[in-house]
Formats: sequence, C-alpha cells, structure tokens
Amino acid sequence: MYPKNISAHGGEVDHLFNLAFLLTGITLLLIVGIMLWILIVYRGRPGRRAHYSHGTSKGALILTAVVAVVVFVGLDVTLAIEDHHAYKIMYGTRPKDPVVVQVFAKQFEWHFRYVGTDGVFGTADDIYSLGELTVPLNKPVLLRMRSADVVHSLFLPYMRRKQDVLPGQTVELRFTATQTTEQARAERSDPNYHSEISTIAGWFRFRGENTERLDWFSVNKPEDDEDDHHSKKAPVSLLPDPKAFDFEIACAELCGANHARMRGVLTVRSEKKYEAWVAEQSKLAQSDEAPEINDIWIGWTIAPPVTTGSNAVEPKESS
Amino acid sequence: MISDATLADHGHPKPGFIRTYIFSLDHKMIARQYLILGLIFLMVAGLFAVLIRAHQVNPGRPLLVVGNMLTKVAGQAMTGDVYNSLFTNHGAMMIFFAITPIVIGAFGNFIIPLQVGAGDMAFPKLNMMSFWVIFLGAVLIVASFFMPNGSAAGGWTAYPPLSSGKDASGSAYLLGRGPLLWILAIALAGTSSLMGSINYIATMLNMRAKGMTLMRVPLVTWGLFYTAVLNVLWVPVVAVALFQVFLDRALDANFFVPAMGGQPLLYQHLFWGFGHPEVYILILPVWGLVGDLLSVFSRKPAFGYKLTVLSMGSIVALSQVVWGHHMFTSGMSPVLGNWFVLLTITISVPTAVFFLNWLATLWRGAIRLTVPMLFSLGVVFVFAIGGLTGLFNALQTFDIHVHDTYFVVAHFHYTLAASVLFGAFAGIYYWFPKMFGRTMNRTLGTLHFAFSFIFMNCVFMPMFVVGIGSHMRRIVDWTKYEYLGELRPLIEFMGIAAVALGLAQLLFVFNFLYSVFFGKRAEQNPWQATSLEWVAPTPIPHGNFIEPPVVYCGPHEFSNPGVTERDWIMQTEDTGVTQS
Repeated sequence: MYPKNISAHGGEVDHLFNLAFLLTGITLLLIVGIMLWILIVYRGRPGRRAHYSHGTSKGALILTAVVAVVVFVGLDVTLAIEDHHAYKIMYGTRPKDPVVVQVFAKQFEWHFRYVGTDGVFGTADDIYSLGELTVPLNKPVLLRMRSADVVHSLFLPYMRRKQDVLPGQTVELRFTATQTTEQARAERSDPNYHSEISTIAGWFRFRGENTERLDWFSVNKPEDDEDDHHSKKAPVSLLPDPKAFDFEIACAELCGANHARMRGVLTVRSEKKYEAWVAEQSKLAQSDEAPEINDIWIGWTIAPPVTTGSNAVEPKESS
Repeated sequence: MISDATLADHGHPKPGFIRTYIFSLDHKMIARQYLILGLIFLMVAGLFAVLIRAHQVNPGRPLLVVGNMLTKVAGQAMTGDVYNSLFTNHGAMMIFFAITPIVIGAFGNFIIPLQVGAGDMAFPKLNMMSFWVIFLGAVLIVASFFMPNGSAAGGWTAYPPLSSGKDASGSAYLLGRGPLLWILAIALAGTSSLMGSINYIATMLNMRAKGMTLMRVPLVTWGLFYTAVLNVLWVPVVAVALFQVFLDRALDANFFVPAMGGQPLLYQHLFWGFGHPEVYILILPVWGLVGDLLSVFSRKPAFGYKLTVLSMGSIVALSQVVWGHHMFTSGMSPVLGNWFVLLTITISVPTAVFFLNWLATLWRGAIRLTVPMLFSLGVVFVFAIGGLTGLFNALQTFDIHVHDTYFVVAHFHYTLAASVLFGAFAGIYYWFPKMFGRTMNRTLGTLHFAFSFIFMNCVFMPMFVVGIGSHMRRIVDWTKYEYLGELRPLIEFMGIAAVALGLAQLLFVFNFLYSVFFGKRAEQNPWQATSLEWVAPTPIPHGNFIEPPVVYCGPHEFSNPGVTERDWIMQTEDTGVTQS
C-alpha cells in the first residue's frame, strides 16, 4: 500500500489488505474463470438443447450449503478475525506517558498545541503551530482533537489512520512514528528508490516521463508563461524534490469550498532533536517575538495531570 | 383477486391527448414517462462525472469549452465550491433522478402489473401522482443551479453542520437557497418512491392472476417488491434527517448545533440508516432481472429460484442492521464496530448463493448472446468485483484507512455505476419491444455494451489503486499534495477512459431515439420468453390482456423435455409437464 507505512502498527492495515486481496482475488478468478468456460462450452448451437433443471435436487442443495459454508468460514470469518486482531493491535491499547498534542480543526486549517517544557497545557510556554504536527520518533503520541465548526477528519496516510473530528466532542487518535523526516528524505534521495506504487502506476503511463501535465481536456496557457507552474512546459519537474520531502496530513471529510487545501505536515524528529525543538519553541513562545495566539484555543485549558492507577497519565481537561 | 381492469376495452370512451400522454393513469405510459425522465438525468449526471474526471487530469487549468461556465473568473481553474457542487449533484441526480426512475420507476411500473397478470397497478391515481411528484422534484433540483450561490455543495450525503449550520458571523457554511431547493427536491423524490412502493406492494400481494402463486412470480418482480418494502421502511428516515437540516437552515433550529445541545452525529445515523438500505433498494431489481435474463438466454430454468428469493429476502433483512460500516471513523465503540463488521460481512453468504445460482443457470445451457444477455453477463462480472471489494470495506481497521478515499468510490461505482447501470441497460434493451412496439438495433447495442464494459473497467479499476494510494475523495485539486503526484498516470488514464465511456453512451442514445420512431416493428415475443408480459399482445392494449390470464407454471420453463417443438412454455400454457 502507498504511501509507505511509518507507524509502529499501521502495517496491520497492509497485512489485512494483502490477505483480503488474496482471498477475494482467488474468488474472483474462480467466478470469472468458470463463467468464461461456460460461455465457451455452452454457447447456443443449432440442434442442442439446454439441460432442464430447476436446481432443486438434493445435490444442488448440498452444493449450495457447501458454497455458503466455504464463503462464510473461508472468507467472512477469516477476515473478521484478522480484522479484530488488527484492531486490537492498532487501537486496543493505551500506552503510558504518551506525548499529548491538542488539535483544533477549523475551516480550512489544522491548529496544533504542544505542552512545552513545563508539561502542562494552558501555560505561557505552550507551543502553537498552524499546519505542522511535530512528534518524536518511537514514542506514543496522543492527539486530542476538536473542531471549531463543521465535521473534519484528520487523515494520516503514513500512519494508516484517520479520525473524524466532530464539533461538540473531543476525539482521540494515537500512533507511534517509526521513521524521522530526515530518514525519509535520505531514503527518497537514493537513486534506486522506488515507491510502493511506482510499478503499478508505471503500467498506466503511456507517454514518456512524468514531467508534463496532460493537456487534452484543458485550456492551456501559452508556453512562454514560466510563472504559472500549472502550464504545460513547466520549468519545474512535477516529481517532488526528495530533499524537501515531508509527511503530509489531509482532511478526509468534506468541510467546504477549500476542503482540498486543508493540508498539514507531519514532522517526525529523533527524540533528542524533538526535545531540542520543544525547548527552543517554548523559549520563543515566552519571548517578545511570540506570535499572537489564535482565538480558537481560548477556553480549552487543562488542570495539572492526575495519575489514576494503572491507566496512562491523562491530563484532565475543562470546558 | 382480479379487478375488472384486467379486461381490455372495459367500456369507457377513448381518452384525449392529455389523459393519454401527460396525466395518464395507465401504468405503461407512466413507466415511459419515468424512463424519459431517468434517461435525461442519466445524461446530465453522467456529463457531470465526465467533467469531474476530465478536470482531475489537469486540475490547475480550466476545462476546454465549458471551462468558463464553471468559474466566476475567466481563464481560472475550477474552484472548490463549483467542484463540490458537481459531485454533490452527480451523486444526488444519479441516485434519485436517474437510477431510481429507470430501475424502480420505469421497470417497476411497466413490469409488475404485467408479470403478475393484472390490468394495471392497484392505485392508478396514486401512481400518476408519484410521477408528477418526482417531476416537480426534478424541476427543483435544476432550479437549485440557478440560485445566486449555486446548488448544494455538501456531498449527496449532506452532513451537518456543513449543510445546515452557520458560522460565527451568522452566514451559512453553504450559502443561499440552492441547498434548500436541493433538499426539497430529494424530499419530493422520496415521496414519489413511497407512493410507488405502496402501489408495488399492493399489486404484488393482491392483484396476481389466477394460478400466479408467489413462487411463480418472476425474479425481477420479487426484486422490485423487496425494493418497495425497504423504501417504505427507510425513506421516511432520510426524510426526517433532511427535514432537520432544512429546519436548522431555514428556521435556526438546533438539531445539529453542538453549542445548543445539538448532535451532528445523529444525522449520520439517520442518513446511513436509510443510506445503506438505499443501495440495496437500487440493486435488488437488477439482481432479480439478471436472474431472469440469464435463464431466458440460457434457455434453462433459473437455478435455485426459491433460494434466490430467500437470499434476496435475507439481504433485505441484513441490510437494515449494517449502517454503521459507513461510520467506522466516527469514533464508535469497538464493540459496536465488531457487530457491524460481522453483520456486514455476512451479507456475502446470500450473495454467494446468487452467484452460484447464476453460474449454475448458465451451466449446461444453450447460451444466446443477445444484447440484454451481454449486459446481464456484464453485471455478473462487475458485481463480482463490486461485491468482493465490499468485503475489504467491511473490515473496520482497513476501512478506517480507506474511508473517504477513492477505494470506497471505486467500490460503490462498481456496484452502482457498473452493476445497476448495466442492469438498467439490460432491462431497457429487453423490454423495449414491449414498451415501444419496435426493436432496437442489435449491432449498435452490442457495440454499446462492448465499449461501456471496457471503459467502465478502465475508469474504475485504476480507481481502486488510487484509493490504496491514499487519495482522498472530494478534492478539487490533488496536486496540492505531493505524495499524490505518483498517482498521476492513473489519474490521467481514468480521465481519458471516462471521456471515452461518456462518448460510448451516444451509441445508446442514438439507437434508442432512432428505434423509438423508426425501428422495425416488434413481434409479440421476440425473445421467446415465458413471462406474462410476453403473453400480452404488442402493442399492449389498455387493460393489458385480452382476457384475464390463468397461470399454470413458473416463469422459467425452458427446454422442458415434455415439449419438443419449442424450447419454451408460456406461463399461461396448460401442458401438465412443468415442475414449477
């Protein structure tokens, strides 16, 4: 599956896909194969009569029962069990001490707030970000999300997860990243790098290299217009620069006219670099150059965290 | 119970032009009216789809020819609000004003009274009203485009608060009166469905001819009957959901305003409570039709008729308890999610029974590759793909990733655009001789099938790959996301295939229009089929049958060894050798 999974357990989704593809693929080949064979062998020919049967014989009923059982056990139960297993792995645990990030979805932006060095939300050293979610490598992350207006959905394709953000509720999403942005950039800069989908996409490529837009159906600007990078002979290659690669975040629930622009960036830093980033950003937030805090965050404050038995430490929230 | 309506020419003067062609009480004329309405909207909504896919080939530039009609600023690419409105209406028009009128309105109205041996529907006046109500709805949805801020743009699913709410400054998220008209249009379409469904149920249960037991009714009428049952149960639910949106918009109600205690999630439950049965509403008649046509054109009885009827019935039951699989990302309890997974996935069992019955009907048959048969075989192929990919989407964990991506879009287009549409074409080519008294051209029909089949697969098979590539739905410009760049060859391929698919439909349009006026006159039973609509003369008189039919056998008596000069036995023939 594409893009490459970089979460600790997102591979379960890929595994489910592979299993379902195998089982349904076999079923499809059987159905289509049998059908084609029948169409060839039993095509109507003059003088040949069809076989008269209503399919009510005992043999027919047994065949039907066998097919029903095989489908139920071989396809349905098998897949349901695998899905249940995958679900438990991906969503069934609450790791202790997650890095908590607050997310506010709004038409058409993703706002993020981090605790900063004091570990408490709602204080002067909180880090605010518009559109960029920064997380540490290999540490569980807990997103607590709200919506300011309509239904949005945080989609993390690289984590194989999404969660609808409904106004009026606080929803949660957990994941653990297993590759840093730096590592991803290095990987993609390798000349031998091939993405998971490049082979299949290649089968459909019918015109040379992928550097020009197909203009059959559109009105195109004159070729000498170099400012507009949508024109046909764009000076910039349409393939992204691997050194500028970023994991992307999208909104996956139609939220209005600019739903397509509700893009975010996920930055994964190694633990050391993440701590350095938190320290630096917290200091900046308390300094005079700190930007204005967006109105959205008013009212979403947090009391000091409380430990309750064996449950993960989760800050209590008000409002 | 047979009413006097069974007898042709029952002693009233011949009605005038308006009573015959406009405000007709005759189910056959109402069926033709539904068919024309449906075909017009099929073309309009189909055009929207072609525009959408052609736009996606190069989203940063305006489209050729129509580009300037779709933007406010000349030379600019299509913006999100227009694009959102295109796919919203593509969905709503296809479902409510194209497919429903053709597969349920036209086929149901034309075929049910004929196949059960009645002279007309149980309630002819209600029947006439049902058409004019949906006609009014059609006028409203077209009118919604002429409102200053355009038509609805919240998806055919119209989730609140987007579709109903207002922002902090008091202006609606979706501006203007367009969405209101759109909601009213769908409400009228739903009302029309309810009226029609009452008629279908009453006619099927109460107006069957002598000897027409329930187990001798053709499968397509069973499908239409089940459709009517689901309609009656669930259309009121979506009406409530839409009415709540309407009240929130028009009268500042608070059903979906969280700050006032409202709950947007409620809408999703109500909508999908209808929405899932709706997709079975659309496909049940096609399943029945395919069962019948495979039998007719294999010259063999439908294999396992009773089990097919039972399977369709069990799917009717199951379809009502699986709506949560549209909401796996809404944050529901995993326990609830598990139930929805299990119930959804169980639908594959009765579906497998159909496939077995279809293949077993073909096996050892004498297959005739007529145009209706080609489309029926096409349905078997595309529904296999559509149904099997439904299994993927039933799995909660997988679905959370592909929800709102093109994987889901590809799945439901295989089951709707491919399966239901091919079924609609099969029915139109099959019943055209009876509906219009003329034959359609076979060569054009075969070419229409071949190109539609090829290009349908060329559009929607790559779409699964695009969905696995995590491409979100309802995005006006995918080039904003770098990771989607790798999918470019697939997106271009789909765009070209969509334009080709659209052009291929011209073969059908030409064939249909030409044949209605200039086609060769049809004989009474051109397909050598056995059900009662082929007992009626061509053209079918008012009252349908010269004398009330008496039924002696089932609808699939083909190649019975007891009758040797023909390989079919009409349902009204008393031969004594039949097993059904």
